[in-house]
Amino acid sequence: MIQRLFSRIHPAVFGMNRRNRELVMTHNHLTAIDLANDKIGTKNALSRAGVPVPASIAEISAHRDVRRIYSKLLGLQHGFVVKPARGSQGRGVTLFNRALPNSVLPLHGAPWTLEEFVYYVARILSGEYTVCHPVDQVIVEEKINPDRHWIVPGLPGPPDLRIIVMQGEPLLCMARLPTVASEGRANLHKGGVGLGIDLQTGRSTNAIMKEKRIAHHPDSGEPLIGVEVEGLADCMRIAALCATVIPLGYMGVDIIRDRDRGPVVIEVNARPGLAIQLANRTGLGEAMNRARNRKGRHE
Amino acid sequence: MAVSDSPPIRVALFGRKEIGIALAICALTALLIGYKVFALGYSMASVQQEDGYFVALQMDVVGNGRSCELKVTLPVSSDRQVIKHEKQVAESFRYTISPGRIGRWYNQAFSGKATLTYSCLAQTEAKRYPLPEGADIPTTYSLRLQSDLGAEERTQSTDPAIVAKAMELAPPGTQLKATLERIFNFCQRDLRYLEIKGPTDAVTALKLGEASCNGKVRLMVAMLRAKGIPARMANGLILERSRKRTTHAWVEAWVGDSWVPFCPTNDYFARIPETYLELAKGDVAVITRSRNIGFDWKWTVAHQLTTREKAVVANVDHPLNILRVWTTLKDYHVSLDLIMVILMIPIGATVVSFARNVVGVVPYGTFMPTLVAVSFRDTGFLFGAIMFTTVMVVAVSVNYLLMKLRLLHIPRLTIIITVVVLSILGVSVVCIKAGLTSGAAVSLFPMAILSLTSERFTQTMIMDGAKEAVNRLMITFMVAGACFVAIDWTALQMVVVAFPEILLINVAINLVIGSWTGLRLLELRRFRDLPPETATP
Repeated sequence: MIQRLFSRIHPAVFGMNRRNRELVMTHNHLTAIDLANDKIGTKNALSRAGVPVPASIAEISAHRDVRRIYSKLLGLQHGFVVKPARGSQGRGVTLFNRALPNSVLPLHGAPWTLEEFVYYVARILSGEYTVCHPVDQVIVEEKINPDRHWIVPGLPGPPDLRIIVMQGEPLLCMARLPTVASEGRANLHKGGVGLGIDLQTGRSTNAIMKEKRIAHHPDSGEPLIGVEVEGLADCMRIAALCATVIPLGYMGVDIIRDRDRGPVVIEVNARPGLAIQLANRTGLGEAMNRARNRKGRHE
Repeated sequence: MAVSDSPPIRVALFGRKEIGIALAICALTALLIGYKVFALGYSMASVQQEDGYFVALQMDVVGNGRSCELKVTLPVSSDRQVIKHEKQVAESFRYTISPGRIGRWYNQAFSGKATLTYSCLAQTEAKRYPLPEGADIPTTYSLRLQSDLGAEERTQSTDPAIVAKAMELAPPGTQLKATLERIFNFCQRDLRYLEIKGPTDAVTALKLGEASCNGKVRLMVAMLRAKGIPARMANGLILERSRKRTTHAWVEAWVGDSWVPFCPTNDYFARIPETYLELAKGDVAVITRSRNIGFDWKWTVAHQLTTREKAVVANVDHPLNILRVWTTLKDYHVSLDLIMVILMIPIGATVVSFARNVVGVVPYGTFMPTLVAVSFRDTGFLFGAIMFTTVMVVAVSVNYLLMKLRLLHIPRLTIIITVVVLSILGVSVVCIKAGLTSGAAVSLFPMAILSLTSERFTQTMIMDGAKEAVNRLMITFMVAGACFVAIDWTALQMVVVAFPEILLINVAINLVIGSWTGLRLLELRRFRDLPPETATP
């Protein structure tokens, strides 16, 4: 029994404690974490270095700016996204199709009145979606034109790719597919599907939903194993580039594929979650081991 | 193809440095405690179980140079009351206790002011007395009961009106028990209760048809005596947390071969409640004094300091205990209990640290469960839980409504705090009205904590759904429960109070927890299906 228990605490799998102590606290300097948490700073830095990021429309730092900036939104044809600059896990992010003089049309759900929109922005500004900052800023950026069929056809929303970069090297990769259950979002804890992607072959090796293994997409029934991720090499190159801009030794880079622009980095994460291990059926420790061996082999 | 021989990943579940520091801290703490115990002979006071009421009589006397005497009928231990730990303060007076348990303070030439006190611990019990069925009123009694059969100045048992009333209630031939019942019922029910200061005699009470406790008692005693039943007045104190000048009177009647108590004021027939402390028998004043002095007095009744508090004081009041500085601050009234609670908070925090980093549950807020647990100390776990749940329901509903009103964050929180305070007071009032006295203990209930918890709850509900919000609330509650067990654990409290340096061990424990990189218990489950590490090629 004890033997069995200990065989499970094998060094290949990282828990929160180990991730925080041996990865985040060892490789990620606080100032770099702070930069990664601030989407505005991150975006500016990435964009200067030539990493493709969504185009900014406006940044709101004070309540009084809301109405002035709203006039800017009125002319937009392709929609926009409103995000808290220091939010996490996609909290407080809303996609809008259009801004009209008296109402705002979100991508999902009923139109918002202008008052509702102003209140929503005010809530972000007063720090409701941040963890330990008393105030926040709001980013308004262009809604990218995501390629829904990038990884698997027939998804209820755009998929994204999460790449873990360890000391500049892509280590593990997971594609996140929205489901009807996740309300079109690619969040795993909301019920999205996670695909483990082999960085060597560029193909999916395993799929999970709600931390359980699955073989087919729950909505479309599309097979999920052995799927090829188109343009993975490009994504890996972009992820590695991010690591040179944001000095994090351990980071997660989230990439969406725009139909016109190709891969676009939407977020950089200083404490990427551990579910990627389940999606790949590979512990972070094991992945690090393999990477080291590959490196050894090349030398 | 060259196979690299890179070493497998190091399995170190704990940081070596941290364990080293932790061990050093433990050794230091053991040394400190060991030195105090073995070299300096410090010993720990433990909690002894002793329940009861602390009764104190305080008498303020102003003299004018003449002789001064005060006499108090002191309580006596009996089959239903135990008097312990008697103490008195005599100042310049001479204090003696007569064989009849009269405490006497005497000063033959007293001038100036003095405060004389008597105090004791009274442990009382409720008692019921069986009355013989079918027995007639005896016709003869032993000599020593004769004085309890005759008339007295204020107990006019031979007054025609009283005799006539007694005969009307219990005509000749009525049995003993029925006589007692009828006379008791008359004095208890038909004679109205009226708060009157000073003594009322039996005849006046009968004439007025209303009386305070001593009038009721004198009338009942007089009528029983008129019926040939030995009876007397009993004086005592009602033991409830109070400060007062008045004593309470009830009746004792000789039934069979013992005195049986009856209280026509509070309707105790042949029984005495736990809260009655007997002081004097007969129609006598409990306190008598010289006429020529300035005099004021008060009785103070309090639940005996809980034994826990006493042990805390005993532990703290030692030259080797650093906490003793607080006891030297006489004028500041720093509660040692509060200091003890403060000392227990880090231990409650360790419970949270264990729950989060070893078990892997995530309650609301960082140390919210600890603070919630601290508040449960005042209210008791059950009442605290009722309070917690009710307030959460109210606060979350209000928060939800305020979100609809599009109120901004801080003003919204302020409204929630207000609502939380009001609902805490509301719950408290309802509980007190319903007789749950623990509902009164709301003083320290951390309103800000509850408000923040309700805010987090509402946020979680909106962002992750009600199920997740309730789940996390349950987790918060469970961790708070575990914290409560830890901080309310008497033995641990005593150790912490006796050896505050033990908190260094708390540091050591957290050095260990903080450097532990193994999978949390819930992660063991989460990752149970992952294949073990494949052999490196």
